[in-house]
Amino acid sequence: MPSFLFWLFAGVMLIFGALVIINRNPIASALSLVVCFLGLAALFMSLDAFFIGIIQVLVYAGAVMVLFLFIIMLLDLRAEERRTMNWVAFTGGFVVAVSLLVQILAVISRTQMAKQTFPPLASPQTDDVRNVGLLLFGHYNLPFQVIGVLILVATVGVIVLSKRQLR
Amino acid sequence: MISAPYLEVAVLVLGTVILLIESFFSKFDRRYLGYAALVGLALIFLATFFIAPQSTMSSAPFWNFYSADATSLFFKRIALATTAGVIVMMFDFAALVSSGVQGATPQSGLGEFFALPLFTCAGLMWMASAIDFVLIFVSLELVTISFYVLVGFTRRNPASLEAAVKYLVLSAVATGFLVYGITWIFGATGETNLQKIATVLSGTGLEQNAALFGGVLVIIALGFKIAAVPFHIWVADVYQGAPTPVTAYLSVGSKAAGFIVLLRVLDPFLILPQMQTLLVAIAVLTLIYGNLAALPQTNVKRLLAYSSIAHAGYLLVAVVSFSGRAVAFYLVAYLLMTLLSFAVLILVSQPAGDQLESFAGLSQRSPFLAFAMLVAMASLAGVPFTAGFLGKFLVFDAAIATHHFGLVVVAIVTVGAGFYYYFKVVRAIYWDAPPASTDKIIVSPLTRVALIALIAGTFVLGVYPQPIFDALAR
Amino acid sequence: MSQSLDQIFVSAKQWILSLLSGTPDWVTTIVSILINISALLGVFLTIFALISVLERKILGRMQNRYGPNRVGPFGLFQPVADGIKMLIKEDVVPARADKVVHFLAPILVAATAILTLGVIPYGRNMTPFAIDGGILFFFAVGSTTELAVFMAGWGSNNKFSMLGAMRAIAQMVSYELPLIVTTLPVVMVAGALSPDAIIAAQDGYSFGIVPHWFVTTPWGAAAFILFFVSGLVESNRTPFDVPEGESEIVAGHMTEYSGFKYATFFLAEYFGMFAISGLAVTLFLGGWHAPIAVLQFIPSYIWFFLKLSALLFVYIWIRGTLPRTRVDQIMNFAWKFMLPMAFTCIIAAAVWHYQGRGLAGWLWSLAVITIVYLTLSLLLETKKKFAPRTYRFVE
Repeated sequence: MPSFLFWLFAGVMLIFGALVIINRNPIASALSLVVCFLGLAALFMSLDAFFIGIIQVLVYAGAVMVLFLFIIMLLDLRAEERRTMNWVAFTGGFVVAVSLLVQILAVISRTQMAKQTFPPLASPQTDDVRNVGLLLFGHYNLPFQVIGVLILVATVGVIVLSKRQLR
Repeated sequence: MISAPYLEVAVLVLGTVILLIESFFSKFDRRYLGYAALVGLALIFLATFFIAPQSTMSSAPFWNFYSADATSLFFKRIALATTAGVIVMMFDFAALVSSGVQGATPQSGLGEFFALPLFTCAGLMWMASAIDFVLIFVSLELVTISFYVLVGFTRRNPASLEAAVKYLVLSAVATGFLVYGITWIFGATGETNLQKIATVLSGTGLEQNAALFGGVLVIIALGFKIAAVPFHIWVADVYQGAPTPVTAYLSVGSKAAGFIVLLRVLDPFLILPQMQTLLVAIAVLTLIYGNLAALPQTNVKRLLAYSSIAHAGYLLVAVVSFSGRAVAFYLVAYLLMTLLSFAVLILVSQPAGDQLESFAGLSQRSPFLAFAMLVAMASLAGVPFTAGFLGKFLVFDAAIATHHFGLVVVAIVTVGAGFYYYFKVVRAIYWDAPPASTDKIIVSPLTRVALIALIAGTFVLGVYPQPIFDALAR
Repeated sequence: MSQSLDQIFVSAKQWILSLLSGTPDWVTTIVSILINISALLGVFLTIFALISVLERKILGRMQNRYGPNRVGPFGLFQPVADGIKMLIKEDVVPARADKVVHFLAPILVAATAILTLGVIPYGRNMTPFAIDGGILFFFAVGSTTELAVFMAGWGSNNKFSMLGAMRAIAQMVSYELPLIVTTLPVVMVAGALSPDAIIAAQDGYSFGIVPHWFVTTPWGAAAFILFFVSGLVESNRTPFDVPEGESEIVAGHMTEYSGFKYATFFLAEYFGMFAISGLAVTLFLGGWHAPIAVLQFIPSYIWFFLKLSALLFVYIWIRGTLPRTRVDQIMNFAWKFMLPMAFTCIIAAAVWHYQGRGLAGWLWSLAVITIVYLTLSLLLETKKKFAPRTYRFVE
């Protein structure tokens, strides 16, 4: 992928990532997040990870965000817009965020690894779907199974918490 | 001889079977599910004494994630015992589960209430065995997500709902820190397996800054789990709002698992001196804040929440002193006394609420419960001949051995503060006049047996700690 | 002869590209892509125009009336008249609408529909965009349709639009699961996610008359039916068109759209239908392969479009036959019947594979599907489902 495309998508991600938190309207935030995910998917594809990129779109932009929006639809949207800014909280949050940013930048600037240029990607010899599958079901099988339990618990939990009447 | 990974599988099967029975059969007393869970947990607890040593096992990728050493087995037992204790408490709490729900019967929702802790238990046991950041993260999430549900289980109660939302939001932030920290560590060392990370960290040509930054982020996340200051903000409200058995579970199970992970994660990192300074600072803050904030509390649940922060401080002192033995013993002592105090709290608070006043004159209403609470408070404060005292003694001993004198001074001063607020409860029980209604509190046989076992454990471990050390040394 | 006829469009494209032999590589790449896009759009816009009039005529026949027959011979120029009407209509945007979102929604919905068409092989060597994870790409892009529907519903700032969008999203999210799960057995058996490889796996004939299409196996037939039903829901067609139930919520998420924007939604709906049918043909009906060995001389793309037309006819047929279902029936059907059956298809396909893909496997997988189907029918107590509805919110 030519480098200008990298800058394009990275820029899109940053701009829309910022919009997610700047927007007062929850729907606009959520839609910005979708664009941000699309940029991320494009960056994955630029690393020849097509499968991950497509899954990023399918799962996050397609499923997760739609559920987010679905829930936002059921909420009172105007409440967030009416809310006045709490300047103490804002200043506090701002200071914490800036200090974290400074910290990260300082660490990156002192890390040699961040300064080396990587060789261009060799074109993949094998199918990336196959590679992901082999890793997931082979080496990472145990965490994968634990995730299965996690999802079961989450499902049970959602049903317990949302049941209109307990049985 | 049983292979260690089957323990978690057994717990999972138990939980799933209970869930299935709950959903496919409707006409029976849901309490039987609780009894089934108790019996199952007891059997699995017995099975932990017949585990085949790891060396005879294969070298499949599985063992890159999972360790079956003595420490992990020990913490698995803690998880199983805690879960069993929590389920016993749940019997006493059962009447409150569906209170306020329209059209609910006394049986409503109990099936899931008894089944969910089993999944949490499996997660805790995986955490005890995890030696790879991937498994640590996944099992931590399993535990956290099941706690979200449990904390909000009585969602008709606004306090419970508020607690669940606070816990959800703040622990999501903590999870973010954890993942980000793991990414940094992976970036710096190229590994997620803790042993391999240790090898890389002790080698030369290391990107120390990046690894350290990642380590600090991970500590922030774990600090949240173990309720260390300044990552404690959620503790008081969540502990107070959650159903009481779940509060006990949070304060024992979640904390124990957090500490084993902390021990394992810090193992490679403590060779970096900056890390130690940081941990000492966190420990001092936690000790001072937890004990001082507990002083003015009049709600017993909230008081126990701050006391839980304070105990995290003592445990951190043991962590800084590299003493896995002290941590393990302290956790066992903490398990006994915390479960004891919460079990009494459930019974006392059912008619009158969690306030300190409802304990007034307990010695006349139920001498047995009054004695149980006295033992719990004495042990929490650290009165000699209780498990709590010996735990603190081991911690201070380890700290002195590693020349953390300042830390020991702070810890001893805060223990003094601790005596004040723990004995506030005792004073209410034995000296305050009872309220107008002095009904006797009925203690069910099951709870009575559990309370007696906990009291006996507190005293036995206070004078004869050897079984714990033996189990750790295997 | 038949070979060159089969590849006539491919050769034509190569001939155009050969005219550009002197230019740099990127020019050739871009021109090649442009040719693909314009061919795709040209073909499908024509089919869209045809089907819009044919649908009305066929429905007319089914309902004992004529359908459009005034404009041009047999009413064939009706779409042209409709198009002109739509173009010159006033474009009304509600004053309180979210202008940007309201404007972007029809564009997004059309773009995703067109993108999904790009990965389907229309004939031998005739895949506009041959990518390895083509099937995944199809679903990834297809799932963004839900976002577009949401944007339309929310951006209009209208209760009917919102309700319609909620209904549409609820049913699309629910049926996306069986839709994707039913493609899994095909992907497993073919061992590939690219549509070309899946079609290649369906090559060959038993005794020269039974094609090796996946629909000829029990699991394939079951999966095909499930896929087709899910496709009906995904493209909001009868009997699952509650999102635009005109008797209740005007036109659902399209209520506040007029003129050309409305036409774009209409177009996207049909393009989505083409795409889903095209994928069904690719996955289960052998793509561009001929049904019997002796007919292989007929060009591949003709077979593809014949199969596509057959499926589209069934769509219209169903629309003329079945009444609209209720929202709760749709949801119950998705989660209690479709999803378990879709998972059964995976198991049945595995059984078929491990029994050697022969007659034994055929019978075994039939047994698996029958058993699960009968168990589900017993468990679901279908009679109770059609009892009068109890209203929770309306007294």
